[in-house]
Amino acid sequence: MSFDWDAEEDDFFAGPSVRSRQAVDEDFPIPDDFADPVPGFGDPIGLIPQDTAEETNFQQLIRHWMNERHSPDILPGQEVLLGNLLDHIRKQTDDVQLLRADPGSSEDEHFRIMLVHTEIERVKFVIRSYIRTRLHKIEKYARHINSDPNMYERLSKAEFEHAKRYARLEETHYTSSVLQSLPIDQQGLDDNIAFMPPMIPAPSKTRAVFVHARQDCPRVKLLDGSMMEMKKDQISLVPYNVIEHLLARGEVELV
Amino acid sequence: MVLPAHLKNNLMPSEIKFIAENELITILPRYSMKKIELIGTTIPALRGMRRERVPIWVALILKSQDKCNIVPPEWMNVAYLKEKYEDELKTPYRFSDLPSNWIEVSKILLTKAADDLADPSHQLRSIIQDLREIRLVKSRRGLKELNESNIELLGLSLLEINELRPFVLTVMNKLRQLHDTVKPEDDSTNANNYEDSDEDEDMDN
Repeated sequence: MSFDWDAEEDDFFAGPSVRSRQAVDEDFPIPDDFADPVPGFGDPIGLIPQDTAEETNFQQLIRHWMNERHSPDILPGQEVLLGNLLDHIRKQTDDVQLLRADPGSSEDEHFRIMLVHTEIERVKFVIRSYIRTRLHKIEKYARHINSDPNMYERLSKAEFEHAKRYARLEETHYTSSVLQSLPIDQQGLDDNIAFMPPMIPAPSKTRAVFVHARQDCPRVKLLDGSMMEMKKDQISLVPYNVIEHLLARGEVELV
Repeated sequence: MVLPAHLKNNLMPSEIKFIAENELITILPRYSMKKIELIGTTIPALRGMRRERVPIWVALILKSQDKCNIVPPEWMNVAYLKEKYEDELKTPYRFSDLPSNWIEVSKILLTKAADDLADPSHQLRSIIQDLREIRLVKSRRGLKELNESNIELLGLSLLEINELRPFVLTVMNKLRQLHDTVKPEDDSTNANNYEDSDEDEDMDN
């Protein structure tokens, strides 16, 4: 992978707004300073209090992966989580390589190496799928991302750069292939024409999603004005904007 | 392009199986192995004939090399599933409380570890098929309740949700579009309200 996650994390945390968001996202009931990235900040497993240790990094990633797959909108990126997992993968891969190179290792050891290797591939699979899902949405909504400052803080620096470049390419392509031969007043790419769908596609937040309540949730208001209360483990089909804030707090997950 | 079209709106059954494989299952090892620290979990030290809980994917590798027997979960037997089937018949509007990945886990065990199961696999397959069918009928009947705003489901497994998803989401989105068109004046005020309430929520955070 060509990303340098460590370098990216530092940049990513330059803005304070991201930090508080991260703390909320991880729904760890732990002091804020935990979310502060210390240079060389390694595997946090030992630091997590007992009650949240049940959900490992990998399980968190699977949850965020599923959320991202089902959500119509782009969710805040899980930079810290990915960084930790990638560090861990690197470490495990090095160990595997080292053990493989050792001619004296027994058959039992080979079996153990195979298990470790299998797991590395499983984690990589989820990471790839997660990143590709995000990339897909980023490309789809590249021009929207460029026009809406609220989207910036949900993306990593690399993702944001990609969105900018992609939007520029798209616009150049439209202009050079079609628009330049049209009259000037028909060349716009962001005109707001009454009774027409907007020219910049934005995520449709009213799309329905299946949500699973991870805990008892506060009541939410539905489209028709009535209230809905979700008990733990309840699964509902609701429009995305109804549960958007619950998802951001990690109280529900998409399934 | 980044995400193949068949992955865009739904999960693949293979992905659901992948998720289910991370669940823990009890095994009876026939092999000793030292503890292994993995990224997502830890495989405990294995010793012959001492029960341990490991992720299903580990159990399957061990099983394929004849290094363990899998202890099937307590719901994975004909008597229990029959009981659940009776429950399904008695309560036409509710789903019985099977584990949320019962289809995936039972499928994995039936194909990879049939000899470890308590009952003959053809009986298990047939009762599982019965259960699946009655639940499918129920969930289809439940679709009558479908409207533009919300629907509550209890006890459906991930795979069952996945089967419903393409149809249900399309219908619900169309219904909502229709609903919004019928009441254009409500629509504009509604839209504004939602924007506002979303922002309020954000600030509360």
